[in-house]
Amino acid sequence: MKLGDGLWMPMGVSRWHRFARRFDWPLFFLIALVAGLGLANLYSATHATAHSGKFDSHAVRIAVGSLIFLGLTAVDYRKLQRFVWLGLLAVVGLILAVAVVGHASGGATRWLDIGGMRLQPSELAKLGVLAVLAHVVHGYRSGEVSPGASVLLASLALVPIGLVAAQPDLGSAIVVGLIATSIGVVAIPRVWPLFAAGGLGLTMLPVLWDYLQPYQKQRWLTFLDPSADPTGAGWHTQQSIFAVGSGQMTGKGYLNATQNQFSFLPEHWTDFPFSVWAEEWGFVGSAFLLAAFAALILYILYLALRARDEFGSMICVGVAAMLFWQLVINIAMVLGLAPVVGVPIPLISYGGSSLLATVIGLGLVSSVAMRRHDY
Amino acid sequence: MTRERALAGAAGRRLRAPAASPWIRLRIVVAGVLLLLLLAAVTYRAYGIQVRDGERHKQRAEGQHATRIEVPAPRGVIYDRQGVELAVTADIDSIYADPSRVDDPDGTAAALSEVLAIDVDTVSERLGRDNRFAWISRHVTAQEASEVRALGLPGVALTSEPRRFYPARATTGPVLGFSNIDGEGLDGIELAMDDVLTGVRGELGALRDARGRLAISEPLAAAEPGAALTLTLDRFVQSTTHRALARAVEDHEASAGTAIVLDVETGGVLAMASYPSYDPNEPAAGLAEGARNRAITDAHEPGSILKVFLVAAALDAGAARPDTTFDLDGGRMRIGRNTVRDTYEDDELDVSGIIRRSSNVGSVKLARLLGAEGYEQALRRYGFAARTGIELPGERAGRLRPHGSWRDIEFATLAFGYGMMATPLQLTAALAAVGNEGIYNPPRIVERAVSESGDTLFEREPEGERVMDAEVANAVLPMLASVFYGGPDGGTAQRVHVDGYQAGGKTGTAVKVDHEAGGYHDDKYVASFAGLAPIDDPQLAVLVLIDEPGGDVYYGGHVAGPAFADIVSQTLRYRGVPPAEDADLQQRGAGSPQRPRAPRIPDPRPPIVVENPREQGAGAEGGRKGAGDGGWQMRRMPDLRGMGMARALERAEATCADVEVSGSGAAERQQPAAGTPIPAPTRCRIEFARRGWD
Repeated sequence: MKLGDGLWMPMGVSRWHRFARRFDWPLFFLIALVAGLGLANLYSATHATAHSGKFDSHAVRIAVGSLIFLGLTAVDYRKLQRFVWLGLLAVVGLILAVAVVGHASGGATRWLDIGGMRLQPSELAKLGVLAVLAHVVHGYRSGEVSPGASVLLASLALVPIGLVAAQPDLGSAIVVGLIATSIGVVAIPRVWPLFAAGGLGLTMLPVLWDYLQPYQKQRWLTFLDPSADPTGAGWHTQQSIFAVGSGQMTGKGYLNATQNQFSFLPEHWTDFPFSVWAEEWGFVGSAFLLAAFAALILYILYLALRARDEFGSMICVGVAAMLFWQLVINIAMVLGLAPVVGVPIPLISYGGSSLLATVIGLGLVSSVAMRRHDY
Repeated sequence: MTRERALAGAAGRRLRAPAASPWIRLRIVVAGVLLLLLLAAVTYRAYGIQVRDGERHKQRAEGQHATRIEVPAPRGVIYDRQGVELAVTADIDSIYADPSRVDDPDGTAAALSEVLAIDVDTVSERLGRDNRFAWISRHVTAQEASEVRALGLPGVALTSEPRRFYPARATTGPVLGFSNIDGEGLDGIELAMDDVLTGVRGELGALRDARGRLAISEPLAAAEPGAALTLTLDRFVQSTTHRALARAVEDHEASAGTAIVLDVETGGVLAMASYPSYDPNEPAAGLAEGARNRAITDAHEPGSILKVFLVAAALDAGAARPDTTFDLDGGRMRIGRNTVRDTYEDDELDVSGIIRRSSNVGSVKLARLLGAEGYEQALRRYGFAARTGIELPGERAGRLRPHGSWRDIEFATLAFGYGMMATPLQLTAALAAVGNEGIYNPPRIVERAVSESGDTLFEREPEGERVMDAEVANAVLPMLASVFYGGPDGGTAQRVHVDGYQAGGKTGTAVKVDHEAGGYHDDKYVASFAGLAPIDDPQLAVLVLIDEPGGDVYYGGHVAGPAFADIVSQTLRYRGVPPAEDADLQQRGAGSPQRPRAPRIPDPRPPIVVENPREQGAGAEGGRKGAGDGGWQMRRMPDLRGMGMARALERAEATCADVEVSGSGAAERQQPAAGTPIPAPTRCRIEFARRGWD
């Protein structure tokens, strides 16, 4: 019997043996390292506050996430390929459901209550879009789909971006856009039309500006001049820089991030976990965390090079892009290089939907990694 | 390929050739390099923030939340010699704001203004300060504090500050002084001993969170409470003295007065009262009336009281003996163009008589026997013209010119106390030396200071110094006693009756210098009485000085004498000195101390007559205004329990003559119990205990 035929693989001792030999342990250890850092940091970020329960629920989610990861690893990603459009449809459906029965928080409606759990479909949109684009690239490259149809299908995949931006969830929309762009830059034979489209997009900025919510405009304006209103919208950027800066070279030590514990930064467990980390561990810690992330992302790109087919390859590129852009945008925000947008750091930030999307993505990558062998 | 597979299969892992086309693989590699570069750029930015500018960011971060608040250390408690609290410190709420955290300045100002009854504009102005800290209202009542707390205004917070309470109120007045809202001593002991009482201000690392709440109050430097001070003052004696003085000043419509009680043996101040006084809890009104510690800040011409020291000096120098007699020519003596005259027209007096009859002419003759140099040296030895060094602010040195510059008439007037200036305290201290067998103790008011940790920072030590022979001092005592003798040739204080004890003393009636017109006033006097008691073994040196008595009676014995008698009698009784059985007999010739034989009315004329000596025959009873406890009605003791210290003391005022306070916080127990009928102002006791305010 060929293994991996079914969606569920019964495990005998020898099967487990084979699984363990094919399993990509370096990937697993890199993920475990980053997730471990995130868990430790979340404990520090919340331990002395009314939010200390967040550590427990994050730990539980990591455990559940590990099971999802292992389950997806066991499943051949190619068996899932036929479900990508269904998945995107489901995501679009969820986003539309948010608009109707969603849960509002902080001036935007992004959440869906499902049996007591809050789901943020915009997080899943990242996954849905990258999977569909990988599928489109696969179809085009294998000659199954004509170039024209590919462009059409690819642009269909971009529908969720508009829907997410309309929520409004600017941060997620940008991330989804960047994931799509990344896949495009890697996979489109001639890249220049893409840059031309990018240029056109820039000229559209003034038009887009009008569609931005007032608080979004304010964020951009204060990003351009943070000191203009140090206690207003630029306040968070300023506070974040104070926190990071006061870590200096070696940091204040674990659990000593006073700047964060006194809630100078709102929701720092979600949006500013890096500032807690940087305050406690200093530049040494910042560099270490970034290096760990870089190792993980580069290893996923390495897996993209080694994938068995172009769908798997593009899954890896997409997941790498998803991790990279969220990391960079969040840290750029923390370091005052980008405006304050609600983009979490994968595996580090507190948040179930983000963790779910990340774990599913990494599970797919792990599956791709295993299938590069004749498994 | 087959071989490859076979090899891989042998290893259990057959690696398939990658499917992605070469250019996609290249782009992936380029993407990897690009993202590494981007992460490197981010890392470089982190390096800039954390390492290059880290110190600056750290300081600014701490600067915004680690606002350093200076915490006044609780001032040390001031005790009297018996351990009764004269000044205590209790915590009381103050309200402040961090204007940068106030969401709605107008609404906040309006709400605070209503609760605290402060003008809205004032609150707005305070909230509008470009500062991260502004006091809104300090030392608010518990009610105001809880109302503000209930409002929960962002950026507005409460803190507790130490506040000073003076349970004895005006009784201790200027001698104790007061401290301001920031715990800085401004007068009296509070000022003189400020360093000791203040302790070390603490620094609070007031770590505020983003809403301006005090997140952690981590003491950066703990406040060290000030040292506890024990005074030589006795609350009972002070209170007796204060009352006697106030009555004397009010009865005689005088402008001011002072009274001092010294412990003869040690020089310790048992009481030091001034009139007008102020309530140190609310000193403003009293200060406006000119309340100050007149015992040391005012210097007067001492007048006849100085004769005591002339006599002591003359006897000590061997210039005269107690039985040396002087021919007085009916109490008149010409010196140049001036005439010195006596109140009584005696022809002959011995040294004792000079004191008893307060003879100016005799004094001049005695002084001439002693000589100017000997006189000046003796006065300086007795502590005149130099500050006593008592631990109180504003002490004057007085004035005594060197004898080389004395003209004849000046030497003469100095013999009976004109032409020099002395503070009441100097006079009392010098008199105490006479009572202490000739040993002068500089007057002191601080007994000891004990730090919070129990270390004794200061302990008063005897610094007595012999200034006259013991025999001389003992020889002067009976002369002072004779001042109280009755009869036609009795003393100037024969109308003064010290109930139960034999006292000795000396009257003084000095005409005040007219600083504006020059010369002396016609009708402004300083009436004083200084004495020792009991005279056979003096324990107390007491001086009562009444400034500008306004009635018809302004003679020292009449105006200051009764107060002196009151103070001496009550203090000795309080100290457990058995009353002398033959006390009343000292007033020889007087049938009854209550009805002394009408003496000759002392002539209040100024002792130096330049021309036109006025005749004045003031009626003996004329100056006495009705004294009594009029206006008192039966009251009931209020229920003070649960009240804060300030309020409890305010309520207790109506029924309590004297309030003994212990503890701090809210009143828990009281004596007398609430509702007890109080027929006359009584001694009360209130125990305070800290309760869950916060």
